[in-house]
Amino acid sequence: MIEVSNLIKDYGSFRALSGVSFSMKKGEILGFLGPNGAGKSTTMKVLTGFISADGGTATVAGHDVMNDSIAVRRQLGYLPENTPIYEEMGVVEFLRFIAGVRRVPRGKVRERLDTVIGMCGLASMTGKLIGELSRGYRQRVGLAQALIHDPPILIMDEPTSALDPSQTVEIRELVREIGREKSVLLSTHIMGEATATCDRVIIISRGRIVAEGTPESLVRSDEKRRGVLVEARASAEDLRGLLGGLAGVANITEKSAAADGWASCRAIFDAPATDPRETIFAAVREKGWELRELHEETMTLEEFFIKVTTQS
Amino acid sequence: MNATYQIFAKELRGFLNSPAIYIFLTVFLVLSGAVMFYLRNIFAEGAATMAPYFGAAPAVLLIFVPAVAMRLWAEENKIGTLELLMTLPIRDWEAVTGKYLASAVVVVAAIVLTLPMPLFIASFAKEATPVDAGAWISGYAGLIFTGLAYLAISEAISAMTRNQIVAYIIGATACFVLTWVSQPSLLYYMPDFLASIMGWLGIAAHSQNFSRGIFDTRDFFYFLSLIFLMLFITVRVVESRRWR
Ligand SMILES: Nc1ncnc2c1ncn2[C@@H]1O[C@H](COP(=O)(O)OP(=O)(O)OP(=O)(O)O)[C@@H](O)[C@H]1O
Ligand SMILES: [Mg+2]
Repeated sequence: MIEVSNLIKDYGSFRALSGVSFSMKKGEILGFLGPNGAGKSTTMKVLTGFISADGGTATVAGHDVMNDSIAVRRQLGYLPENTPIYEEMGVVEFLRFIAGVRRVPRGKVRERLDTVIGMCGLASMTGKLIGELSRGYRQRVGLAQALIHDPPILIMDEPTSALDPSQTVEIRELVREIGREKSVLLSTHIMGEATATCDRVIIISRGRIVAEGTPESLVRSDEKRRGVLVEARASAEDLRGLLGGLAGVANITEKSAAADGWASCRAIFDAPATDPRETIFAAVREKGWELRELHEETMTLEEFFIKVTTQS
Repeated sequence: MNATYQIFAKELRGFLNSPAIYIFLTVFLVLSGAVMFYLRNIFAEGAATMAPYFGAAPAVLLIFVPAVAMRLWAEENKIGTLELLMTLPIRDWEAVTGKYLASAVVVVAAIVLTLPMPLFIASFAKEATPVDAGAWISGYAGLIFTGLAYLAISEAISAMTRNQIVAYIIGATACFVLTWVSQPSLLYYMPDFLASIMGWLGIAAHSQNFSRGIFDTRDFFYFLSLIFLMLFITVRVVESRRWR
């Protein structure tokens, strides 16, 4: 649904995007992750036709974003960063305005209005002016606005940034539900959000894509080195000795001394032939020691994120 | 067309719901009335002409029209709603025209609302001084054209800033300069070739014909082209966000 190839955007002499390429399939929920100033919003602004790129191409639903911007915008629902909306308008008045511009057929406006108001939990706010709403509710109005014409593609810039924890969970579920039929591109700073809602994530840093994949594959992308945490009833030296004798062990660090008779160590395996946990379990059982922890340490998405975005 | 209409309807509703616009309108009507009553002796003298009023009224429009136009784009720039608006399936020119037409309704309505005042004054005029309807219509047409030209200028200025006050001050100044460049006392000091250009360029040179009851199609086309030029500039300014 979205094809981006080698996109470049300069703000004056500052290069905000230096060759961003990715694609989004139909029905996919794609997460855009990246530190502040990475270029997430800039990419979305190019896709939605708000600004023009200085190089590269992008198509949305088969239409070129530069030459055929209006056709692109018809296929999109867009929630800009910080939800800029008209404060002096009423909630329903605003949604009706968007429905009018979006050419929702007259006879269907009422029904679509009820649908999005229900979906976004706005029923109790319909009598208010947007300027009177809390930030979270404004964001919901922004979301409702993006959904009113039932677009096949949704682009949302930090859709949950102003929501409280329970609202956040609600909106994530809503996004998942929307993502069943629609293609969704969303940006976020919250790793948990990416893991919970996205089929695939793209990590962007300083205008470049630095990693891409499913949330599970990203944290495992360092396949060759695997760390295992072991805790057994033995002395620390005995445990170290045992682990040191195993095939493929590169490094062992002691986590805690055996004060209560238990010792705990972390062993790093370099390209092991079999799952190192099996090897360790077999060795410990042979010794007849008791075992109370055997756990493979994967990186959290946060750790991975920090790792890829701080490399220059 | 649909998009232009949607923007027009939204902006017009915005004006009707805005307390500020009623204040501007009141000030405009009070000032217009004051100018008329100040010049009312024109009726007493039996000339039955509104020409002096039509000559002075652009100064009142100069205060009023930029106030109507100042928030058209400055507010969108400031709040960031420009991003929402311009990512809807709306072409830049449709948004520019929709906003222009909505504020034009306000400006024309304000000018029409001043009409009861000369009628009221005329009712005091001596019987011997009939109202010259042709001159009145021509004079009011001139005021409306002047107001619409000021509006187009002020909309262009509003698109260039995110600050309404700045939009107002610069807009009013620009209208002022464009009106009075054709002032004879000013042209006097200019070299001939410049004087002839300026004499043609100034809004006053063209609105004066209307206020004297002369309807010249060249003046009509002057106002039309000025308005189109200013709206075109507004479109380009709104577009320029893409490249910044
Ligand atoms: N209008 C602008 N003029 C100049 N520089 C800009 C402009 N907009 C963005 N930038 C710069 O471009 C870079 C990318 O900005 P962008 O808003 O795309 O980042 P982001 O990934 O969305 O960040 P955040 O997570 O903070 O929202 C930043 O360094 C920013 O300072
Ligand atoms: Mg951003």
